[in-house]
Amino acid sequence: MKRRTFLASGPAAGALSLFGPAAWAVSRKETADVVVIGSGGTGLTAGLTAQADGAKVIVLEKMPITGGNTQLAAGGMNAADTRFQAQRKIADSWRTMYDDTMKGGKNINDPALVEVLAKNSAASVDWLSSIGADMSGVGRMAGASEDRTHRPAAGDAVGHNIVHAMRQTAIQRKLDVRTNSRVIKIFRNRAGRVTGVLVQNKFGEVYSIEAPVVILASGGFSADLARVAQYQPSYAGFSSTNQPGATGDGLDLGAEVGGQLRDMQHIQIHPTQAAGSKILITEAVRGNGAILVNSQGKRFVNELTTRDAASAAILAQPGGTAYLILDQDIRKSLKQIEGYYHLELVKEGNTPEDLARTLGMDPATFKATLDTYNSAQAAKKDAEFGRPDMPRPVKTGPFIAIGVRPGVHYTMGGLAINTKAQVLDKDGKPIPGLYAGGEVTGGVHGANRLGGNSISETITFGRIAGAEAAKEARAARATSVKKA
Amino acid sequence: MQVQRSGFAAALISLVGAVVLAAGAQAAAPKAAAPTPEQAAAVTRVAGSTQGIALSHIGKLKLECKACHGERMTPTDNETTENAACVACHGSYDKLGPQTAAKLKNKNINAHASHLGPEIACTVCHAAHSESKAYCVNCHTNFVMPMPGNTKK
Repeated sequence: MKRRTFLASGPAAGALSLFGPAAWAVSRKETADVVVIGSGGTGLTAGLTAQADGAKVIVLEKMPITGGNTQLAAGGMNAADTRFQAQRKIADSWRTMYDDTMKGGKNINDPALVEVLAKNSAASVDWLSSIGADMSGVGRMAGASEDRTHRPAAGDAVGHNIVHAMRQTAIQRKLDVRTNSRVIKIFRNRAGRVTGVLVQNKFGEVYSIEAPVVILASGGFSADLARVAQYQPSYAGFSSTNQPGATGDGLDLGAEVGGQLRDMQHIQIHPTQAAGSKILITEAVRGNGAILVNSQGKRFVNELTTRDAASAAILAQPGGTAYLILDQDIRKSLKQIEGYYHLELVKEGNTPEDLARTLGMDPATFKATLDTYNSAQAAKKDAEFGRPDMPRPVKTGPFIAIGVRPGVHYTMGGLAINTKAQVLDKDGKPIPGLYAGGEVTGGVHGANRLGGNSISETITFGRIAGAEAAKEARAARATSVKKA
Repeated sequence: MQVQRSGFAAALISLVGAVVLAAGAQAAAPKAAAPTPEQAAAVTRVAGSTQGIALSHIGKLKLECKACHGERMTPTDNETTENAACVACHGSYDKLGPQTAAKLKNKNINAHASHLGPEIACTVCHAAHSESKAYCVNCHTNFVMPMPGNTKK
């Protein structure tokens, strides 16, 4: 689709399709300094930042609610050299965070972007605190050498806490945020400059917004399982942990105007997503002693193997699913398990045989599986599958089962950007007027994202994109005034 | 605050007044009367559906279209007017949360006191002219959440 001007006529709106008509019926034209596509952590941060710098901003969200995947984040936000770390005398540094992130990403990350991530992380925590988020708790997630995962002190989930703060700040500051508003096209003129977007709303109305700067903050594509399988065929058959809007259409919008995609095959998975739900069952359930059995009641894998291997093993079972099996002692050892009860993801049986009957397994087989495992646990040697750590037996009823299957969790790849969050074309040159931040971009996480780094990325690159966009919009306005 | 989404400060202000009116409006609501065929036909004609809460609002409650849509009669992208109208009669999440909880066996699964709130709009789940669907079940596919106004099961 080559479209260089704003169209005022075309077929009726009812006949619209992305690929069909030669022209769109544009019902109205608006103008803005900065258009932000997406209203997750990156989009709201970029929008608030550009607005604070004096730009007229419109944030467009295709879903009926704002917040994207960010509002579901449960881990935290990695940051180094923060005041909350200083209060606890944690000797972290941006350099250590940089090293951890590069190592986690198998060193294929863009080092310049990782440096930006690490060096700006403390300021990003301060910015979040300034709009009312609580980042005063500090913990540690996998792959970090120091305690640097910032989160609410009082146990509120980090995603809900920060998105609530962003929404409330947006309301107070009268930021123009529009839900049900899907961008179907980014315009780029002959000179190569981005000039605005075409928007379709819930009612089928199509309108254009003329703007010198567009920020893509549209997230990843973990919820588009066909796209996932296209880039990573071994993940065909997986389910997704993501909110339904994470389909990667922003990648297409960026690629259509010449943006370069990188690292698309690097997709993060999780072996234990609750079956029939998008809820992740934390790895700590296995870490604290749960075993995996298939629908026939048999173990089939070392439960503590890598995510890839555990996922592949589950997919190889009948139906591509499995059960986490645990007991009341393991339940008591981990607070999150109560949450799985609240969400009705748990099945119970007073005896192993009762549970087996509930799950439709042969009771004797299931009982034998538990007996064999408990003997191995007592002997500290798992002859069957070589599980290295068996902290607890599975012996205190009622016995518990949680159905699980592997899920796609995060897409590391995306649009290539530079340290100013400008989208790069295939020659590595910035596309004038086009910025991007967050999961729609590639390069920050390399081949594998560390837990806690994506919230950090959304805030830091959202702030950079917002500030740079406001600056560029100002310059564009000055130029057009001079011309006039 | 409640039921508002980002960027709609104006509606937020009207909300405060609306909540005050809520009690009176509820007391005044007339008792059950099915929509007349004419009324149902009017909704169908306008909105192309025989599903949704518009039917009960027009039939049972004898409300006019503009009771929800306002004089302008054209919803904006955020459906601000319509959502403010919901809150005016039904109350904010502060009121709806406990009210809903009182009816639940598992009080942890409460659509009116969820982790997506309190800014989520009513119309995200409640549709006036089509089948309603709880947004929760997009992710919590194991939840059973029947919705008012759905005529087919």
